[in-house]
Amino acid sequence: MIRFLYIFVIFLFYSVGVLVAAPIDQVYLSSEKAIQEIFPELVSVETRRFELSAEDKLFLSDLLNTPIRNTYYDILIPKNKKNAVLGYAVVLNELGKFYPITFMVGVGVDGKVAGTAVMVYREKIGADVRKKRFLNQFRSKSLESRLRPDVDVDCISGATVSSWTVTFGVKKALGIVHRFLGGGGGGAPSTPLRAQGPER
Amino acid sequence: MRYSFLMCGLAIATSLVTSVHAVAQGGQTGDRHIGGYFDTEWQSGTSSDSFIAHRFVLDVSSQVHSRILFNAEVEFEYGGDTSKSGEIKIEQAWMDYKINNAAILRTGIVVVPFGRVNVLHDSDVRELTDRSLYAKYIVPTTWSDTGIGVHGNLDLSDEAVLDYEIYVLNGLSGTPSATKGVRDMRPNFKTDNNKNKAIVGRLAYSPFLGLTGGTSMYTGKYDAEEKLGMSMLGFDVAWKSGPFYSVSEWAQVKADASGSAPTEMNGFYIEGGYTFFPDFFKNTFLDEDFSNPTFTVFGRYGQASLDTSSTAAVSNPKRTTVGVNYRPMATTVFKMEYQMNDAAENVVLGSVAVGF
Repeated sequence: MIRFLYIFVIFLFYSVGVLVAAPIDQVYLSSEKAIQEIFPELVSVETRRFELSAEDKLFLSDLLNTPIRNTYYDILIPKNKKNAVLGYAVVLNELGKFYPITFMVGVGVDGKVAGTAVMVYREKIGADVRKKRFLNQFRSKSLESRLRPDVDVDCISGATVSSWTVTFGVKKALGIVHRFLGGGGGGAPSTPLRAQGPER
Repeated sequence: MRYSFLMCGLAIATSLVTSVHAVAQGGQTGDRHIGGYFDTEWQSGTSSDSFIAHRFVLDVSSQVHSRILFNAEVEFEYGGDTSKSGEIKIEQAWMDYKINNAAILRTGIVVVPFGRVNVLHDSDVRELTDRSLYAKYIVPTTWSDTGIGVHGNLDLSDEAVLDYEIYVLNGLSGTPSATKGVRDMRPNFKTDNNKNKAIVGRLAYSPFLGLTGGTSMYTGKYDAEEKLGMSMLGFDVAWKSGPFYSVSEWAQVKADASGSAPTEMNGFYIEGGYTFFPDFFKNTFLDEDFSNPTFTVFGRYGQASLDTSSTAAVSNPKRTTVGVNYRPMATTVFKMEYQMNDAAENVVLGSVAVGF
């Protein structure tokens, strides 16, 4: 009887410990972890600065129907062990309801979204936009895809603004990568071109 | 025996170490924020035609620590001048202490987690201007109370999520009404009318993004002598797929008899809509500089049965509403609807709401 009591006490303390010590969600996902999550085969990452020309800004503002104020974006280029380019990733800081949401959008060499990862979420509510069940909606979307929140993208109740923000950011990232690769106004190139812009 | 002591000690030490590690994470003080929402309405019927400065709600919050959040809402209704039908009240004021995502302790004046609309009630969030009869008489939004509880969510898989909230509160007080339901039973925030504490909670399951089903429960004594109990049971379903959405809620109230007051009542509503933006509006002022403006056409039917325990003719109002809204952005909405009431005049309603 005493033996069973000890076993029960041991089990109880372990259970409490597991419950209390369940990991507190990591509010910050580093750039390295985010790109690894999106491109799990990567072994190295090259960074290139994409300086926006007037035409680039015009393209993006037409695409997003809103003015573009950034003058450049840093493009992360993950490569595998054979030094082949796996895709392109952009880190964005887009305003949510009150604070910026920092997230990374990865675009494959086929011009389609390879993945999205929320790195920093600052709002007091709405953190469900970090979950895969929301972000997975963007996989395989391309520049030609319609990404209308609440129409083509299911937004999260109680996180409507954050949902709209991330959706807007994915569309923006597709446009940035398209222009970075030398794409014109007629949509993404059918074959990946050499990246332009100075190496950092 | 010695082995058992050793294992016991090891278990205690391990749980303490992991607990301390968990507590040690975080540690950042955060931002303070002021925001809120505002709406102005217009109502026109055979007996009235009026603009209504309905709500100005100020939201104040502070992420005091990465694990501690304070949030409060102060509502000014009808201009806030209490000598001219205005109201000023605290809608919620609470502190969250986060253990982890599955367990967050909340204390203060909380929005009672019964159903969906009582929590998601902000004017800029709702598609329609007026709340349903269910939300007026059965689950009396906005229903707030003072107490303590815990809430959280668990990711059951990459797709499925379980949300829960459960609180111990002062509870409803007063008497159920055959004309107002439980609306006038919402408590004050100073003292409980009895020593009994009410328990309220909601459990919601979402198998995938776009579908959520919830069940809510309330139980407590509502009289000063603690002799009369009241219980509530509710169900809610919200579905969304592409441009279509639907949400419905049902709740039932059962109360121990107090004079001629009703002992049973229930209410429900079902609402649906479709979101779109016609191409012929592109490159107009409706679209200019807005990244994703939308229109939503909607309809809602609801009714409240305020005394199902009586065989006499009682108030069972029914309401049908149809309309459309325009959102230039997610937190700003212009609404226009036609409301058909079987127990009151039909009215045209318009409103503007903005969250900021």
